[in-house]
Amino acid sequence: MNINTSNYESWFLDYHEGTLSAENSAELFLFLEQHPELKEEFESFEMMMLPAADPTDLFPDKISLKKNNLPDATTIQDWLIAEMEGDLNLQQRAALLSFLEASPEYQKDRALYAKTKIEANASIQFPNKSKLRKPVIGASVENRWYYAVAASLILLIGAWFVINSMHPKVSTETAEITKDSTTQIDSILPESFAPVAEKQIANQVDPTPVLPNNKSVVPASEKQYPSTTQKLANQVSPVVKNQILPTEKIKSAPVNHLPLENKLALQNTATPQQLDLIVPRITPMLDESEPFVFAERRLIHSINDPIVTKPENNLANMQPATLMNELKEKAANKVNHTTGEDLLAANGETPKLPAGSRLIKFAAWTITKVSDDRIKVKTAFDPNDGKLAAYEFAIGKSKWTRSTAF
Amino acid sequence: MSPEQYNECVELHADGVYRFVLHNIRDSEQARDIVQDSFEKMWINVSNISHEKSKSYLFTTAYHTMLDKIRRGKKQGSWDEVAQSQYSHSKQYSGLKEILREALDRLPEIQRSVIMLRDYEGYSYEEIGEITRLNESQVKVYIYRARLALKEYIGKIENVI
Repeated sequence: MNINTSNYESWFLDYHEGTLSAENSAELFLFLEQHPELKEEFESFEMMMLPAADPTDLFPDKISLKKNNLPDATTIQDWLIAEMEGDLNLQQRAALLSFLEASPEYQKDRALYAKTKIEANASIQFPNKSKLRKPVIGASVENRWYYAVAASLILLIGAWFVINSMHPKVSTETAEITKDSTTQIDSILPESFAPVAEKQIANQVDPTPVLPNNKSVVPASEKQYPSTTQKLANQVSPVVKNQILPTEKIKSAPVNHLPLENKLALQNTATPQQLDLIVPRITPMLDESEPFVFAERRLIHSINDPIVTKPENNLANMQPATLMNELKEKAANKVNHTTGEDLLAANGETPKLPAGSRLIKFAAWTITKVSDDRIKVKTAFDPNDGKLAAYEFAIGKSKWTRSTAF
Repeated sequence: MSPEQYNECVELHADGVYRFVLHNIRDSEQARDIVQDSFEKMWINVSNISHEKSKSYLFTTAYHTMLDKIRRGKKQGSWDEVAQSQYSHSKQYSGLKEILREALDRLPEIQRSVIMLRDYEGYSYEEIGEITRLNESQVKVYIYRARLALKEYIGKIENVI
């Protein structure tokens, strides 16, 4: 950049401060030769240098310029708002109060700020609150009880179907046998047994009652039974059909279908003498405390047991009808008070349950757990076949017990 | 947050959010829409929102939904007209609350929002900052300005009365 009449001041300044190069200094002097009217101005620069500052010249009230974090007239509004907002610490609040004491004219401002606190109008409420709520799927604190009941009912219905599929011929009919009345033995007989027995009714009716002392009284004429080598139809007990039992009030539930005749048909015919020996042997096998349905099945299993069927036990020669008679007599006494509760109480550990029963057992356990013991479901299973024998459904103090085994 | 907790939020916060929005936009129909929108948004994200943050989430959502509506309303030229005509200054005061309501209505939008969050809901500067997406210093400045304006308004009215 060349020196000219517009910028010569900066060249003069640079020359006097000693920052102008030799080449530019030569150019500066050439410019002054061409413009002699500026020579005086150039030379006057030297006379404008300031003298050195006097170190004793000090500002007398320097401390007043420092911020002391105390309220004053210029900051009092901020302090008052801060007080109202709760932003002051104890020390600052004390400083403010001290200032207000010294300057009471700000008390009015303080009172006005206190009034700026706005309050919500609680009478204004959202009108459509119910529309905002969402249905809760799953268990909630309030609804858990109802969901548990609903789940229980569903599971119970499911269990009913499972039971039905396992016991296709379970009848729901019941028979009342009162103390003063008599009942026919076939009312508690397996259904499959009855039709076969009916074939024998015309010729082999035995009107003799079975005594309740567990000893069957079989007339001599009826002790001549056909050989067990005959077919099943000819093997069925003549004493079973129309046998009259003196019992107490019997609330007889439906009797399960049992393939009893098939088992008994394999046995040999027993003589009256043998029966006299056999019956006492059977009696101890019928545990009074054991539900009949369980006892009956256990006994039938025992009959086929190789140990039980040893010749020396004479059970191998047991006449099936007599055995049945004995069993039914026991049944008549037992059915009366064999309830679902008895089955539940008598049911011990069942070694191996079928899949359906395991499902039911799990469902019962789940209901009890999910409902936090508000709903209690108990189950009992037949120790022989593992099928559901009884269940109990309790909600609070209400309780329903049903037996599915009869 | 579970559905049960969501329903609990409805009980606890629906009224507060509604009041907050209503006092800002002064239109009950729009306020209802905004509250419903806010809860719908919360329901959509219910599994991602903690119960502790639910209130803050609601106010944040409602605040920004409200701002969107206000901006749209301003473009349409309707909100300002409604606001000015329905809530113009009245000289018939029945008490401090009414004076304060008038003063609040005259505050700039952002000042009104922050001071309502502060006084109605008791939020801290930091929480208000999260809701309004301002930093803490800005929140503080707006609240201070709002207090100052309210105090000036109340002082003038009291002088007149």
